[in-house]
Amino acid sequence: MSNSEQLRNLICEILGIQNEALSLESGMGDPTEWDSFAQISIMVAAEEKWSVQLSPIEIGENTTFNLILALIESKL
Amino acid sequence: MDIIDLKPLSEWRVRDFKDYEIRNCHKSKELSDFMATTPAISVEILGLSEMELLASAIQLDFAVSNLSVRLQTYRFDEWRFLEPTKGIDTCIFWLPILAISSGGLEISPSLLGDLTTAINLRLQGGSSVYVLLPEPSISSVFRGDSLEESRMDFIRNLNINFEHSKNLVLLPWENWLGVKNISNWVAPKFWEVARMPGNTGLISCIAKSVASTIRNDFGFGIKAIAVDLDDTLWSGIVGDVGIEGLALDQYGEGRSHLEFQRFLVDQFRKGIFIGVISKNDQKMVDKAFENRAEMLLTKEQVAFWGVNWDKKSTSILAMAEQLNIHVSSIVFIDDSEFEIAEVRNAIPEIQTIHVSGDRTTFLETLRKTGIFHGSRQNSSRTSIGSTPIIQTTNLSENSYTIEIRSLEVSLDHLDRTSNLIVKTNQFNLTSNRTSRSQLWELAQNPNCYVIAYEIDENSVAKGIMSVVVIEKRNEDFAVKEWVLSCRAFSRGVEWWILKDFAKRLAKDGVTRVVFALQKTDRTSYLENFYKELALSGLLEADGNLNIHAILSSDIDTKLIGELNRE
Repeated sequence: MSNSEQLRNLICEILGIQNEALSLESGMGDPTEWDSFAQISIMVAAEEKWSVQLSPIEIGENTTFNLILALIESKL
Repeated sequence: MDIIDLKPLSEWRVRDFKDYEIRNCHKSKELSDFMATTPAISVEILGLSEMELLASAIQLDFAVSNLSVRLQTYRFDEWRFLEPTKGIDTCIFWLPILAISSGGLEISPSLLGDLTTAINLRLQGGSSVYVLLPEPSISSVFRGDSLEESRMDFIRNLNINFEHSKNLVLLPWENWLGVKNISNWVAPKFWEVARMPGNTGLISCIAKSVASTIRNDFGFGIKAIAVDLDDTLWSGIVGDVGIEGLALDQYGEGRSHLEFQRFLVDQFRKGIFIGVISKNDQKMVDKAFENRAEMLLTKEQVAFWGVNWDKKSTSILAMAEQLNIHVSSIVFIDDSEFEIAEVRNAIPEIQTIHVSGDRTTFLETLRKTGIFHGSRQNSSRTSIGSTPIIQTTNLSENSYTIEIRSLEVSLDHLDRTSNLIVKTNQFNLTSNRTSRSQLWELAQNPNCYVIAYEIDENSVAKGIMSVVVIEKRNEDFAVKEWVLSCRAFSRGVEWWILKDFAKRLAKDGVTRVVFALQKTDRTSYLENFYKELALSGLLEADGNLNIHAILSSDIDTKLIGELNRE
């Protein structure tokens, strides 16, 4: 399974939404389930899943599916 | 009738709190009518990011119960600048920055003193105060960890400072960490990014638990427990094993059942009705209660007996009718899945708890439901020695005696008196539902009388059963609140109370008091009392029994007549 698919599954599980509801452009505020608390949960879960370290600034700035994917892949 | 179309609170997740809108709550009309006169509870929260979750949880928890809440949040560091403010019913201090999350840097010698001052400010204003204590250090597993020692010292000293305060609840994290894996909740990243002392799951769990605790402590929780007997209250089926065969031994199978009985007795003392709902023979059940000395729950503590061969839902509906409470305020506890399902099917609004699996953890299971009274020392019993006893009397009938004492309402009584005002529906003169903070303001107002009445039955303390609030309005004095627990009905208590406060007013030169009965579909007992008052000549009433009462100077004579008649 690609990183993109794994990240999609992870985000959808945290947000409690169907995979189809998430696009590459999805991010905080759209869908509405993706709020600030969900953002932290996603990033902390991503840290654990890919064994990477994310700084608070990175957690705060990368708030879309696309950006998070790019961030994680840059650290692998 | 519509039912509340909401999933159980335990199934709500973080985002539910944030997205929740009251308009999505399909309220039952009956319930909303029932609570229409309930004022909003005013809650003040001091904390960091987790406040948002706590505030949302409180809002949701109250909304599900058709209650409204006014919330005011402050950043934690603002508590040093708290002002004395009136009208705050409860204040929550969440102390996350004192321990692990910030490396314990905030614990300073002056902190305890400053915090004590802030808490006292709210307590003296009549608020109830909840303090969420600092979270434990992850390194607490190492003996001698200095941060953990510092945290424990802080908690110990806070305990000492408020040892005698009945209106303060200290909430340790251990309440919740016991059900979580500690390595899961510690999330430094949450602290770094959002100043949250744990992950969102744990903070959400704490928030829901605190919200439920506050709602219960304010008297908006359950009002009655309907409990099964066989294999629930005691071990064994009395119809099969007989009275002597019931296991109630404290060292074996009966221990968890005795523990459960102790829990029920505690709930009874907190003003919760206990009803027995069992498919059994009443005579045999009576004998079990009378002859098994180990029984902790007594017959006298049971307000309703539904011991028959009817469907249990039928008995519970009869219980609700007899006690005049809504079925949604009853929790039904049974070991039979079949009975639980039958009751839930017939009465969707009822809350049910299935006794199953490991009995040794049953009490813990009950606690985790968050629906029972428990945190605050809000027993209806009061510390008689510490309160001024103004008057006392005995109403005797054969071997049955009632002793009534009137008390000036103090901070120590606020929990019980405000709970009584919220809970009482049948003998509730005005349905004003004066809030806790308003009650305290009135108690301090020289133009108001706020009197509580405490009752003993056959020398057994039953606690505060009635509250009267009379305030000056222009030239008149008016009864703002008069509530009497239905446990004290039909015993002449209301006459004695009327006589007591009338005499007190007369002594202060007041000759006329305005009563305004707010009739509801539950006030028939009170209306009958009004009719009797009218017949006695003490009440000047119009055709609707809805306007004025005059306490004339000869009230004493007339009331003594009524008491004798009673």
